[in-house]
Amino acid sequence: MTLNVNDLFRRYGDFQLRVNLTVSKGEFLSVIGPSGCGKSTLLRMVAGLESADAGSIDLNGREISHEPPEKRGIGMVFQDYALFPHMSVAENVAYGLKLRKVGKKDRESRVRELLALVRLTDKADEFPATLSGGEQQRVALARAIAPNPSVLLLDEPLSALDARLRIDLRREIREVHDRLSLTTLYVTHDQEEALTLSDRIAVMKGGEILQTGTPKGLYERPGHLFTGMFLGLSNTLAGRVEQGWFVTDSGTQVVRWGGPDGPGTLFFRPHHVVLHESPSGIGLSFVVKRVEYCGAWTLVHVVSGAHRVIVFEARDTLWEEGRSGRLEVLPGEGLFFPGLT
Amino acid sequence: MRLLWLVPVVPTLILFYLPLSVILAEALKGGEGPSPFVRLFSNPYTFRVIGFTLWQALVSTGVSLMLGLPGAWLLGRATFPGKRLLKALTAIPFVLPSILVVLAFVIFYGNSGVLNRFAMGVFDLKRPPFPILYSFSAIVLAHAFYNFPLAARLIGGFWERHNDGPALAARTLGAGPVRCFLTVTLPGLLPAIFSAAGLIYLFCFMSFAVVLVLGGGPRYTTIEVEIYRAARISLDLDMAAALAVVGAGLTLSMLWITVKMQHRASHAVRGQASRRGTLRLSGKARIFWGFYILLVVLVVASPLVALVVRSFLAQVSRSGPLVWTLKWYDVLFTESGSALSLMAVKNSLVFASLTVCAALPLGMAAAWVTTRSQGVWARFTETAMMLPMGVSSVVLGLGYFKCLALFFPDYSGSRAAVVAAHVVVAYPFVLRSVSASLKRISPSLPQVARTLGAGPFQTFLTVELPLIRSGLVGGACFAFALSMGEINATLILARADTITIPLALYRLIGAYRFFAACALGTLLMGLCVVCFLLLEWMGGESLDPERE
Amino acid sequence: MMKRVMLAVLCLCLATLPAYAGNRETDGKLVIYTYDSFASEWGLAPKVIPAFEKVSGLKVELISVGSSGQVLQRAMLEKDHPKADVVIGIDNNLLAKARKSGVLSPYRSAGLDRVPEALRFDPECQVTPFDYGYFAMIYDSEVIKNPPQSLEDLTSDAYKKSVILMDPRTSGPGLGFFLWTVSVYGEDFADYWTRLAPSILTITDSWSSGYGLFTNGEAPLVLSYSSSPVYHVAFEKSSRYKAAAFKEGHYMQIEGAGILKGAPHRKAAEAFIDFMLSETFQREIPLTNIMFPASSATPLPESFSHAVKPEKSLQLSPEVIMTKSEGWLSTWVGAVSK
Repeated sequence: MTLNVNDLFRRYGDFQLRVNLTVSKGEFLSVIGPSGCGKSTLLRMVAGLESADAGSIDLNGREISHEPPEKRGIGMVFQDYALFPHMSVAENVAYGLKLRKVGKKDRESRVRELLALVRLTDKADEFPATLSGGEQQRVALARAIAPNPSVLLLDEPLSALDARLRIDLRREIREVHDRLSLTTLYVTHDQEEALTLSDRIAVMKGGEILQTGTPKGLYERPGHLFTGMFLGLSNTLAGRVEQGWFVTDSGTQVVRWGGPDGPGTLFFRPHHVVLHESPSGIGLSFVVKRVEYCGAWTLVHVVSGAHRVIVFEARDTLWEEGRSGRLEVLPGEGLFFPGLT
Repeated sequence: MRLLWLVPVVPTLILFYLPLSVILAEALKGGEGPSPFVRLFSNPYTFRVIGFTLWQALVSTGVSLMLGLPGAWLLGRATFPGKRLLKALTAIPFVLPSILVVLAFVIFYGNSGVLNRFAMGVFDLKRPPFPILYSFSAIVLAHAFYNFPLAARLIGGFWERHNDGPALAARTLGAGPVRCFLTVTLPGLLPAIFSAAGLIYLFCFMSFAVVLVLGGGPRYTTIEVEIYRAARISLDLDMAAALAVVGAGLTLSMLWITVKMQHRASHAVRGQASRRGTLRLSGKARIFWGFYILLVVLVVASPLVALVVRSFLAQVSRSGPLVWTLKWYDVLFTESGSALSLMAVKNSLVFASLTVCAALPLGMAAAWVTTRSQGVWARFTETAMMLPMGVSSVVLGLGYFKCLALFFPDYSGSRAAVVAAHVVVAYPFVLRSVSASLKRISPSLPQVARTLGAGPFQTFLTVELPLIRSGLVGGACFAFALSMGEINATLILARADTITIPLALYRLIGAYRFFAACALGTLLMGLCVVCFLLLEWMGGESLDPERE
Repeated sequence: MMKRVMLAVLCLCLATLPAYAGNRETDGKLVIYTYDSFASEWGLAPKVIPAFEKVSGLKVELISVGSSGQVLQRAMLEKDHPKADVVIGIDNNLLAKARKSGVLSPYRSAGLDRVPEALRFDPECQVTPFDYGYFAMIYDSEVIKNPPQSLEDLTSDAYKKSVILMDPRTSGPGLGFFLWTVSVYGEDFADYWTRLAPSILTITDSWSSGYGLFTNGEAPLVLSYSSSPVYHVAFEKSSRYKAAAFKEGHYMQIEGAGILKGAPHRKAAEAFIDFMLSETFQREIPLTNIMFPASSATPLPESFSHAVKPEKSLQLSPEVIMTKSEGWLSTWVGAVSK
């Protein structure tokens, strides 16, 4: 089932939403962006919970933008679970099936199958209020996919859960997706979720989709400074290109950079930096502000003049707070985005 | 969605605004002499009456709310045996015609009432030690009698599913229980409080016999006295209409404020309601609840119980002692043949049931469209649909009569008109009761139902309806009670054969049979309790899975 | 839940259907508007209407529309399309209004000859008197040994907070008592009410609540009719409640009935007015309506010895009442609100 969003347009006061997007059959696509960028609105418009001013949505070539939500054949998972408090877990899951007039026998076996899928078989007769957050969201997921929707929409389904649960559940969501090859549109503001779950990511900002691409492509070769900064940890230095070098605002040459002269921002990841003890050589001098031990690696925060830079080091790094040294950005790894920031 | 607006708006227009405007047209057209408005406002007396009406309604509302809050907690949060019965009893004061309320108060609080005689006996006093009646505080007391159970019920229904998270957070931030209640819990309850306040205010605003008799005379005159006088005694229809317009204007502005405050105060608090609190009372709390229960017993239960007991007592001989007897009940069913009482019971039950059947969908639709839309238009509609509560039923009845005479010249009283008038009086209660419940439902619940394939109607039936059940049952109880107790419109619109229990009650009193009237009043209350329990039963188990 | 609701609604429908199925024919009969206590099971209607139906062979539809004021109001509202033939309950206080509204048409019954001159209150014969009574203070003889003998006595300290009155703005007897004070004190009635104020326990909205308070022993004196004790004697065998006879006389209430202009059944209406003055009707009045019958030929039952029949009866002319009462009442409100 391919989902096509064509020139969808909606105006709210000063804010405008204008989106083109395609989710191919069986694809897991995440829409990511800061809060207020319009990503949830986009999802709700696909679901039919909000109407568009212009444009169309079609599902497998069938125009659905003028159909009410119940006719669109979609499944949706909400941020606040939205489980029906007056129904048991099994009744919640069976809700959509009942409306589709699935027979009692089939319904029961389907509910059993789905509860097994989300590992809640033993909770079938309990009421939502007695379940933990993670369990509730698994029920919500089972409920959404029970009627075999053409597209599954998830609206920040993990944001109310704690970190460990999030990792478990996001794996589960992906496994369910893979098993059923569901076309999935996933909205989140969490870049880690987007990177780990998706086949493709669409980055949204100010009501428009900035770019789409695979997680790896976007992470390593972001087309926009915004995309790069939004996905994963990163460092930026403001400055300009001058005679084949990137030079910071304070006049220090940081790294060789071929290309036309002009102001811009140097973008690089924490693992694209080498810290040297000897003060002489290319790069910025710095002082270590803080060292964060993260188990598998260490995160070193350094300060160089007005700039703050974070650097990945091995877990047995010798850098300590207060020590100074010289920072080198590995040639060929950074990206330069011309233009004043 | 647009069309849905018509469901509540059209009946309100036809059943309420049309008759009202017919009466209003009468007032504006005027007869000979100066316009009734000129007559009205050239008299300083009018302003004094309006001032007093507003003032007593305000004080009564405040007192009812304060008394109602602890009760709301009990009904909403605590578990105890007999809670359902207690809930059912909250609507009882509304079924009693004002004359019985007055009698009940006099029997219990009067100078020779139970309370005073008891105290005089114990302390060997010559004068009654509690001259409670015939003063301003008696008016407030009587209004609290009617309204604080209503406040407890409405606010309690809301409190039941209120999120405790913020309150707990406040406690951890160092707020004591009192401060926490005042700064966090209370503001959270404000939507329900304003909702209840609007109703109570209207009710007190329209109060009349109770104010006059228990207040002790014309010092305490409400605008309704003047409406009644113009409409029924001096037969000055222009003046009645003018007064009704002034009254409606005043209540409308007051309602607008409560509706606005209610919308402003309702920040949708997401999240789960807390688990049901178990009553673990410390020493201080025990004193508080003990005191509160005593107060409830004094204010609501005692006058009612006194009335019930009185209906079983009679003097066997002149100045002989009172003995237990069923004599008065005998009067009801044998003296003039059982026809009257049975017919009255049957008519009352039929009217009340039909009223509930019609008021529920109407009030529900009104609540639905007004809570599901935002902005001035929704607030305006809600206010406009609450107004029937703020217009004297005497005037409403007259309006109906005029209207019917206009469109059906052959009209000579009918049951349908009576039921329509009852519905108009009753559905604002359903509206208020249901809208408070509806506002609590997270908007994503109906949305998710839609994505799962339920149409708007199915969504309502399967998701919203079960969740507003307690509000519905409450609204139904009050609608039922109001219809059972209604007199004015029934009298104006009914045919000869449509006698109801309150009318029969007045007939008994008119024939000097006061204690038989008490007996019929007791019967009326008993019937209502049974029906309330039936309504609760129909609403389903008070199973609220969130709270297991 | 749904099933239960459906079940209940179904039951209700079945139960109410018969009530709406039958709609009676409205031909060949007599339609009467009257006040509630007349139509009530304890009122005159059940005693006299069957008798009239038997004599005349007509079917009577009796419609109770509340108080006597509303009888007139209903007739006024239906002026253009009258549906009733006879209205019962136009008293001397309402007479002027009834005449002014022009809803009644004159009819002089032959029975009027048996009515004393003093009671024939409408010379135009639009309203025919059928009974009368006097307002009086009723006292509880167990509490009050020396009953008041004049309006002035009521202001005495002995009756402090002992009197229950009715509001003249909302109650017929209340208006009667008020006019009583006006006819005794003239324009100085406000002074009297100021002096009376300490004696008043409360002023009720209606006779019903006032008399109810009195029966419950809340106060030993209440405003009612001079014939009220008759009820207690005749039906409760108790002479505890007595009427106080006042020297200056008692204000009188005359109740009458009239035929509506354009009445659909004029002949039947005339027959009914005649019937109201007949022996059959008149002799039921004393013990059912607890009033004096208008026809002087009617014997009074023994228990009526407990009713005060004053030597002097007071009455204000209907026209004076109509033109002045609004102004008087404003003065009154001012006097009692202090």
